[in-house]
Amino acid sequence: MIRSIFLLLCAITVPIVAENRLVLSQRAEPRTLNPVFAQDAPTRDVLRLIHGRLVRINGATLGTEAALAEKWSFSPDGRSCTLRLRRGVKFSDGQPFTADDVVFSLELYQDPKLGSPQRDLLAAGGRPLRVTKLSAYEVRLEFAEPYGPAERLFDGLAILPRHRLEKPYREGKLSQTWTLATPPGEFAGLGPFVPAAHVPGQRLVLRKNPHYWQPGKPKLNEVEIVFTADQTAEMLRFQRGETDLVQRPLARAFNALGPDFVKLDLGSSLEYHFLFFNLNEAADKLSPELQAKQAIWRKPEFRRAISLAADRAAMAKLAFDGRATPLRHHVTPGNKRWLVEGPAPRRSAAEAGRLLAAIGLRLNDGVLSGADGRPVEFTIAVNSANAPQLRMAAILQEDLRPLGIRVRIVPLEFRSLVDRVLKSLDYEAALMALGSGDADPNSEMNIWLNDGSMHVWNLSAARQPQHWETEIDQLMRRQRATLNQQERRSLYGQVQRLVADYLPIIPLVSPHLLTAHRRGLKNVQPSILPPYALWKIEEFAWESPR
Amino acid sequence: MHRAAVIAFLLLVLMSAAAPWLSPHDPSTQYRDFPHAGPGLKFPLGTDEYGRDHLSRLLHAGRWSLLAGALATLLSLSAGTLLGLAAAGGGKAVETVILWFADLSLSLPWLYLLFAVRGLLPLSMAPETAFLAILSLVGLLGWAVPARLVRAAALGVLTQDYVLAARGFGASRAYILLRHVLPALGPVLLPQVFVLMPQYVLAESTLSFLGLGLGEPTPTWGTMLASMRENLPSGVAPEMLAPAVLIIVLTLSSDILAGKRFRSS
Repeated sequence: MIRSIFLLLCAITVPIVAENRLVLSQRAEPRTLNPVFAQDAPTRDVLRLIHGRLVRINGATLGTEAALAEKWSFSPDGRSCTLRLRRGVKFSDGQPFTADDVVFSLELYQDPKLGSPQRDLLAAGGRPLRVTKLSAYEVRLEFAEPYGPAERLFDGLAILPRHRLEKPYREGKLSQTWTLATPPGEFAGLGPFVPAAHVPGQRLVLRKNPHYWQPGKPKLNEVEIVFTADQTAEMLRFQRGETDLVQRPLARAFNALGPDFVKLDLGSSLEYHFLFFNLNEAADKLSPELQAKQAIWRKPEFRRAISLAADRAAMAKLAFDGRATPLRHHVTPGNKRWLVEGPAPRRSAAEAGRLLAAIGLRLNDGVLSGADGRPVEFTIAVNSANAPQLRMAAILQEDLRPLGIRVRIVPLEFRSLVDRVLKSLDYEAALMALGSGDADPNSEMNIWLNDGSMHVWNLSAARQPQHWETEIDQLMRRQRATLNQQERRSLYGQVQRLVADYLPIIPLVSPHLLTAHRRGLKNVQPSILPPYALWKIEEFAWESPR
Repeated sequence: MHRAAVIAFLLLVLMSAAAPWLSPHDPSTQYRDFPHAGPGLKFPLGTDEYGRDHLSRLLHAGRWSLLAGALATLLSLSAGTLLGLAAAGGGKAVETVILWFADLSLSLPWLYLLFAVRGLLPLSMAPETAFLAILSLVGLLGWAVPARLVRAAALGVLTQDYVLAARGFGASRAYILLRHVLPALGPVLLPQVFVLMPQYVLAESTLSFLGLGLGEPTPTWGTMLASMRENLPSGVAPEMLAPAVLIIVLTLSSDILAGKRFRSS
């Protein structure tokens, strides 16, 4: 009898030991498994586990390090880069990796017909990158103009198997290739894992790549990614032991985790939450009432007063349960390579009041009004699903009340909010967050260039940039074309000072980068860059088999 | 039991009406040094995540939740009565169309419509107005159930002798519906008030849960419950369940009152 029970236990236990698996949760399902069409962060995060890159950004140092390219060098003028590829590397299906795959991958990313989001990043000076195969393991890339952050770009480019994708590409069927419905056997990648199974809306299972180029890695046999859209539900699943690791959990739930979990707080992340006013100049789209209000919002003194009144410390404490850092700059303290140190953000309601008085606003019976007698009031549009942002807005509402400014908070469904901010321009002020995928300022070009697609405070085509906007635009273009990193830092420092002075966006706080995992999982070293803890997933291992 | 229900219902209404006098603090004042404080002398039911007094917010929240419930109930019953009467007395074609729309109305996912409407409302609209507009829409969309009830009851009244006599004397259809049928619907409509009201208070909670509720800093029972959700992984203090308790009390007392009214009718 005892022997039978023992055998039964062995039968149950052995497969679990052999599995050596990790269960992760992610808040959204990837939209595709084809890196050429990956637009959103959840998709990119999953694809990082499946595909390899030429050069990768070290999540700890934030510098670059060799991956599929073992060496690379730039010409003195910075226009050309020669990469030497690692020999003996194989795709997950056993086929060899060569320069042909690199040339083919870059052809896909730059094909205007495919509309890959990487295409704009590869275009220096608006012209595409020229790729030449020098030998089976050597490739030369030529940029139209010097490109300061060039080598960091390679971290975002998955190298794809020519032998698998060339046929569908030439037949014009690439967009239907490697979707979530593709059978697992049709994938081939250079990353640590390969897709093994997918249950729509529930989970994606990845198996160890037997031909991964780093010997002895990955140490895990299987990674299961379960999709849990709701943060609270995600945390409850983690606490119940259904998942082994969570990234960016709710701060309050993170604080309450017990001794069975390892909690890691890396301090300020790259994400910054900010308030901005609608400074668009599209007269045809904006109501006369809104345009009348804009006259006040356009004055830098008004925006400085709002910034001075904001209790950022309270926002960090109450909206993020202490797991956030008050911000003066849009560059967060987590971005040590690029942050130009300055004084800590100040709060002074008295000084804010003086600034408002200096621009002709008068406080009568608790109501601030302009010269025309119109009360100063505005609405803040907030993502209704983002509890910390709703709290920040409520704190700001309370902070501005003593100044006589009436603030209304309008929670909106996220897509509706984005549509108003980026398309219809029908909003007064909004509270949003941005988080770069890289610490390098190049990832923020679309925010700071005057014609940038995320120049959120003023997107109208017919705008006349302010002098400081033009200056920021020029500085950003210069830093991109500069090869000397010290000089780039100095140029970007000037951008930071201009933004802090003129406040087109009012930086508020940066939430901390939090991750938590089950005790027993080894080698978890989160980075402030996406995919956070997973950047070194090939090193993850369990202390004891499970 | 019935007396207890009456007392509970009246207490809820009175407490909410007298909130400005009963509240120990301003419901929107943030005591930022006391977030998530437990019950004590200064804050009898503790504080929320901003350090706002929970008891004061609970009392003020009742005003908005009950007002929202009453408004939606009124609209729902008005629309339902009008269409139910039309279905009963408007002829076969009208009846078929109204019942078809009632079936359609009951089968559609209205939540998406509410999201779309909230997204389209002008942002300059005061949050209170926007909230009441959404709640009114919810109330109007709830016409189908009362309309079916009213139709069924009206059809019964239309077969009564005195109605047939009135028709024999040449009374018009509209006259009969307004003069004879509508007054006879009181015993059907009054229990519906107690059935629908807690439903709409719950609807307010659902809307708040989804972020379509009243904006900060005005409290409702729904917004107070919505903020509790985030605390589930870290544990929910018993005092945070107070809005849920009040909604349960409202629902139970309303159910008892509706049952009593229904039986007596």
